Amino acid sequence: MAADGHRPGIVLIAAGAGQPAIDQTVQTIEAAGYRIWRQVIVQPRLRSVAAEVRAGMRDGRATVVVLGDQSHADIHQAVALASDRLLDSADAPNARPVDAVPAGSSYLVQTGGPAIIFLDGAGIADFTDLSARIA
Amino acid sequence: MAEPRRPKPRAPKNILRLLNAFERVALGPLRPNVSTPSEIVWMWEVSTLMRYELPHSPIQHDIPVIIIPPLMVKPIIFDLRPGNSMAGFLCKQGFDTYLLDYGVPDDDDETIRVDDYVTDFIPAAIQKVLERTGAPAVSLVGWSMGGIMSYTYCALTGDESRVRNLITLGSPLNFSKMYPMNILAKLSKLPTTQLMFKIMGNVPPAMTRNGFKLMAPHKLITRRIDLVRNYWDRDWVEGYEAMSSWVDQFIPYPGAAFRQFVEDFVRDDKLRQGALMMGDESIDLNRITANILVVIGTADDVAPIDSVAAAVEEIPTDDISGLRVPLGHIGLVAGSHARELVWEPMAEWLAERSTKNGR
Repeated sequence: MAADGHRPGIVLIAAGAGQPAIDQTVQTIEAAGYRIWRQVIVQPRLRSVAAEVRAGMRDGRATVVVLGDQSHADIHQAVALASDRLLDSADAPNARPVDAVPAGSSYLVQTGGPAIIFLDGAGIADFTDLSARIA
Repeated sequence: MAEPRRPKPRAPKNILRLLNAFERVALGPLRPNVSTPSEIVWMWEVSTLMRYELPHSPIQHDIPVIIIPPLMVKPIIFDLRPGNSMAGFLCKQGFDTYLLDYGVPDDDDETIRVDDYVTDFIPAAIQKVLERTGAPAVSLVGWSMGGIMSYTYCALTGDESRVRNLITLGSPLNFSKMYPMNILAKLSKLPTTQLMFKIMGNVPPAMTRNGFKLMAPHKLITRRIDLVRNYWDRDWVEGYEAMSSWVDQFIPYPGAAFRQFVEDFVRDDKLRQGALMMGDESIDLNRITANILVVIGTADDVAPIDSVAAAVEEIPTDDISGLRVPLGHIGLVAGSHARELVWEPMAEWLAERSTKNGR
């Protein structure tokens, strides 16, 4: 818990998700007691999503939540790309990549640094379960 | 996204309320009349190009920034008061910061169109800054219609050698999502409205000011309640008074520009549809190559989220992202939380893209 009673912060990256889904995710995350530091909307393209995931992880104080539509393969590749990079980092010895893209489901990537949660647009409610598993 | 918290008061709130009220009655408004030091570096007709300069803030970035204000308001909103000045903040972050002030239109200016701002005023200011600084390109920061005109300029020229970065704040791109303004704009087809456009000349400030207020009518009441609740907080009251003073200083909207904005942009959504013409040139969003940061106020009553966020989807430039912040339309540029939620991420984004040889 942070000193102000909130849990550690979140960087929310919405990749190709609609505004209603983003609003609902914001409500879900805040209801779970987290503070959202930053909300970014990007196009569901490999480069833009990966760049934002990395920027969110650099922030260091936050879990990165990627909200997207699982049909966009680029988003999963971007998450994998961002977490794979951490495998080479001495700062993140426990990092492991996303081995396969789960179809239509949300998932958690433990990196040794800030964790990454991918939420499928239809799986917003999974946030609470996934965030509870963050080491 | 929760707003940052304020420090606790050092004395009982009611005592502080009384002290502030006493000073307000005895000495007048509590706002300090101080602004960021600036100089006029160029004048053209009634417009001026201002450059801000703080004594202990050397320029650290290669790409200068030009702030592009909307029409109908005075640009002092970008330099409202000490500690609440976007222009001053950018200077402190090491950006060579300019502001294009279009001046106050008089009766002779009623024929000025949006075309004039997009094809004359803005490019002339960019040219002047490039000549002055020797920089390879500029960054534009446009709020509200200033952002819309910046999109239009970039879509007109597609010239990445002049605009490297573009930040828009509360600037709609999809006007079909801009309720209720787009519905009202449909009334412009009525013969009576057309007649009004013909005889009105410039749009008087009282009309635009009241129209602006009516887009968020609940705030006419909640602002006053907020004032009473926060009267103990000197800093809050100073901000309130500075903002109220700015709202009282709306300026005329050139009649032809207003008509063009209502008909072409809001009613017919031509910018997004590629049907807009500036002079003889067509406007094509596909030409935009600048890096773009779209700042979206999730509490913006003037520019609804969907109308602003549409830019991220619709402009096909390689580097574009949207930043959602829990602020209203004015709060994006001058609210008490603008510094932390908007200016800091904005400066960070700009700094990464403001090296001479970068992209």
